[in-house]
Amino acid sequence: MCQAESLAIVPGTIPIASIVANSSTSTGLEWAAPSGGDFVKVTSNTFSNQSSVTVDSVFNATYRDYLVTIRAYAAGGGSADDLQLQLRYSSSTQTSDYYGSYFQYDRANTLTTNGYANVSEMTICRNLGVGSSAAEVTLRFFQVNGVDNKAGIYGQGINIADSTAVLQTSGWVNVSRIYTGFLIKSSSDNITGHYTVWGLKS
Amino acid sequence: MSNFTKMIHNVETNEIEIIELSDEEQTQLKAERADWLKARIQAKTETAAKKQAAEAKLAALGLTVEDLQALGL
Repeated sequence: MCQAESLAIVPGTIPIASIVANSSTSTGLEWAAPSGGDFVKVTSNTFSNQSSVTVDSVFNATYRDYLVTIRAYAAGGGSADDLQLQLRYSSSTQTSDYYGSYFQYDRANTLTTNGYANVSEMTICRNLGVGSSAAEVTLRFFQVNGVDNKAGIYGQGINIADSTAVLQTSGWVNVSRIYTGFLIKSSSDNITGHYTVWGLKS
Repeated sequence: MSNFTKMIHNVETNEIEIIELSDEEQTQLKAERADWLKARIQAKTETAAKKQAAEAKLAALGLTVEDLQALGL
């Protein structure tokens, strides 16, 4: 049986959970709904057969960094498409000054690399597959508020379609500004999938 | 033209719009994709040609790729 007095909450610390009274439960108690924290889901959504997906007004001063997970595949059946990402500010897209690198290593021990400088977008994943062979990536967006330094993104994932490759990607945009969102697209196909955004407090 | 669409999710208002691309946007999108495919094919062709040339040089020395791998190269 759950007892409220069994929780040890030290003064000056933030409890990780709270129990509140609820006469409709068998114990008369229930877990309280979380009221925010340092790692909070901001939004999520699905998309289908889109030429691009823009997520606007998602970055703000509430969090210093953001974690974004993306699942995507080529809706048109292509198998040689890159998944690409651009940052957004207000209602505009940053279409230049991306610097970064990418590599993936697959089950056949083949290494694929892609270094780039001063291009129009970041490469998140190469050779997108279709359907259940989607790519899954987790990206950390840092300094998107433009205060500390220029914004950057790094992350990792799996590209199931391309011989079950593990992938690493990192990039930076050489323009200081306050970025408020991001755009994802494929290099030569439409995309289907979903995304989730979390805010991270430092 | 076929119906290309783009999705815009405004998280602040939680509005999600699916917008059909204008003729001008569709033309630009197709041109960008064609340019990207052309560059990717060219890069792959050049990589394959370099690999073939390197393998020919190895063969002239009586070596194979497996020989180099056996040496940890």
